[in-house]
Amino acid sequence: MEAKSDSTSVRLVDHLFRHEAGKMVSVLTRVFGLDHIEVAEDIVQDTFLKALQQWSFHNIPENPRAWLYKVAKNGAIDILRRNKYTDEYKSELNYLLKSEWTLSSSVNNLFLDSEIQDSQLRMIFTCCYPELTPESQIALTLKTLCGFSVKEIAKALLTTESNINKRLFRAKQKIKELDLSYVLPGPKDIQKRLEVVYKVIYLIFNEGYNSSSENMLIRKDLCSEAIRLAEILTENENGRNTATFALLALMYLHFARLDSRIDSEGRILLLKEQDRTLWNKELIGTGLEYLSDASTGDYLSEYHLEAGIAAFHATARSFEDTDWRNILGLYELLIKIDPNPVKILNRAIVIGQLEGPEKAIRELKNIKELENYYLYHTAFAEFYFLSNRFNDSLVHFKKALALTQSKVERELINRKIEKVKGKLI
Amino acid sequence: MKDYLFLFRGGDMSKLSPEEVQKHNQKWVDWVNNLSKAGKFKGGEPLEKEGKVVNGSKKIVTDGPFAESKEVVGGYLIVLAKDLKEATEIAKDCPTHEINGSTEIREIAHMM
Repeated sequence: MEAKSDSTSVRLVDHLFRHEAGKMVSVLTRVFGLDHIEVAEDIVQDTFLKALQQWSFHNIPENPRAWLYKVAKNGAIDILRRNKYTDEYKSELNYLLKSEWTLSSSVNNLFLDSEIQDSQLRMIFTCCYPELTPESQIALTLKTLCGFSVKEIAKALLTTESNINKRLFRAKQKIKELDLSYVLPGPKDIQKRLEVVYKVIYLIFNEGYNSSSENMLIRKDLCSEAIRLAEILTENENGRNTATFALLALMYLHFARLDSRIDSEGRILLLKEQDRTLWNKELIGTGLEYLSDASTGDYLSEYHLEAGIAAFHATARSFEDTDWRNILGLYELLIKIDPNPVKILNRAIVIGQLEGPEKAIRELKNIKELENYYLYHTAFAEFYFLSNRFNDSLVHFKKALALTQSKVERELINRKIEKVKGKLI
Repeated sequence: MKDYLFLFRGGDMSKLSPEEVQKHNQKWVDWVNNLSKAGKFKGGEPLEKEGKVVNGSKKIVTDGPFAESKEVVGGYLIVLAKDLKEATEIAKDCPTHEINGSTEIREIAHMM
C-alpha cells in the first residue's frame, strides 16, 4: 500500500460531523417518516462509524461531505429494499420507494442542496411544534439538528442524562400520539410557528450565554448552534424576515462579548470591568448589519428592541460613554410588549445609571415577584453600596448568595461581600 | 528494521456523538500520517465486522468466533520498527486506546 503524502491529507472541517448529522437526519426522516426518526439516526451514526474506520487507514476523501451522503444513501436504500413489501415506513415518497425503477433516484434527489435545506427547515419546525414543552423542544433540537449526544445535551443544560432521555422520549411519544407531520407550516400558520422557533433558538442561545456552566467550550457551542439555526431560517423565503434578522443581530452582538465576560481564572467580569478591546469587532459588525436588515420593515419584535439595547452596549467606547438614555427608551418599549419583572429589573438598573442609586432602589422596591431571584438582590446590594448604606448592601448580597448554586456566581458575590465588609470596619 | 503487525480489537464507539467521532477520526488520521512521515507505515486496512470461521478437519463454518464486540478485529496495520520494544511504544500512541480498544503487536516472520 502506498504511504500517505502530506499534500493529499485533508483536515476535517470544524464541526463537520455535527452539522452533517443534522442535515442527514433531517433528509432521512423524509424517507422513513417522522415516526421512524430513530432509523434515520441509526443510519447516520453508522455512516460516521464507517467514516471513522475508512478514513483512519486511508486519507480523508477530498469531498468528505459527498462521501458521507453516499454512505448514508446506501444505508437507507439497503433498509428500504429489505422492507419493500412491508408498509413499515410512512414516507412522503411511499410508492416511489417500492420499485427499483425509482428507489435510488428518489433517495438521491433528497440529497440535493435545495432539498437538504428544505428538510432542515421541516426538522426545525418539527422540533418546535407548539404541542411540545419548551424543554422537550430544546432537547430535540439539540439532538436532531445539532447532532448533540444525550451526554452532551445533559452537560450543556446542566442536568442528568436520564432527564434528557425522558424529555426526548416524551417528545417523540407526543409526536406519534398527535400524528404530527413532517412538513413546513402553511402560510396561515407560519408567523405563529416562527414565534415558537425564535423562542427555542433564543433559549438555546441564552443557555450558552448566561449559563453558569464553567465549561466555556460548551457554552460557545450552544451560542454558535443557535446562530446557525437562525441562519438556516434566513435561507427560506418565509423565514427571511425582519424578526429573524433582529434575533440574529441580538445573538451576534452578545456573542461578540462572550470572551470578555470571564477572566483568566474563570471569574465573571461585569460590564463595567470588561476589557472592551476583547470584544470581537467582526461579530459586532455582523450584528449591526443584521440589525440594519431588521430595521427595514414596520414590524417591531422584542428581538428588535433587545438587539437595539445590545447594539448600544456593543458600540459604547466605555461604560461611562454608554447611551443610557436611549437604552432606557428601548426598555420602556420592551416592557410595553411584555411586562416581565426581569425586564423591569433591568430597567431599574438603567434608571440607576441615569438618575442615581436612590431612584433605582425605589424602582426595585416596586417589583414584587423577584424575591427569589439572586440578581434582584445583587441589584439592590449594588445600589445600596453606591448610596453608602453598607449594612443594607450586605444583607442583600447575603440573600443573593443563598439563592445561587453556581460556583462562579458565588465567587463573584463573595468578592463583593468582602468589599462591603471593608467599608463597614 | 522489522515488520510488525498491529491488530486492533474492540473500542466502544456506540456512545460517541458526531462531534466526538470526528475528533477521534482526526486523531487516527494524524497518527497514521505521522507514522507515514517517519517512514514507519507500511500499510493497513479496516475490516468489516461480519465474517466466517472455518473450523478443523470437518470444516465447520460458523459466524465468527466473536462472543463479544471487544474481540472483533476492527483493522490491521503493518509498521516498521527496530524491535518489539519500539513497535510497542508506537502502538501506545494509537487513538484506539482512548476508547478502550486494544492492540496486539506481532512481528511478521520472514521465511528464508
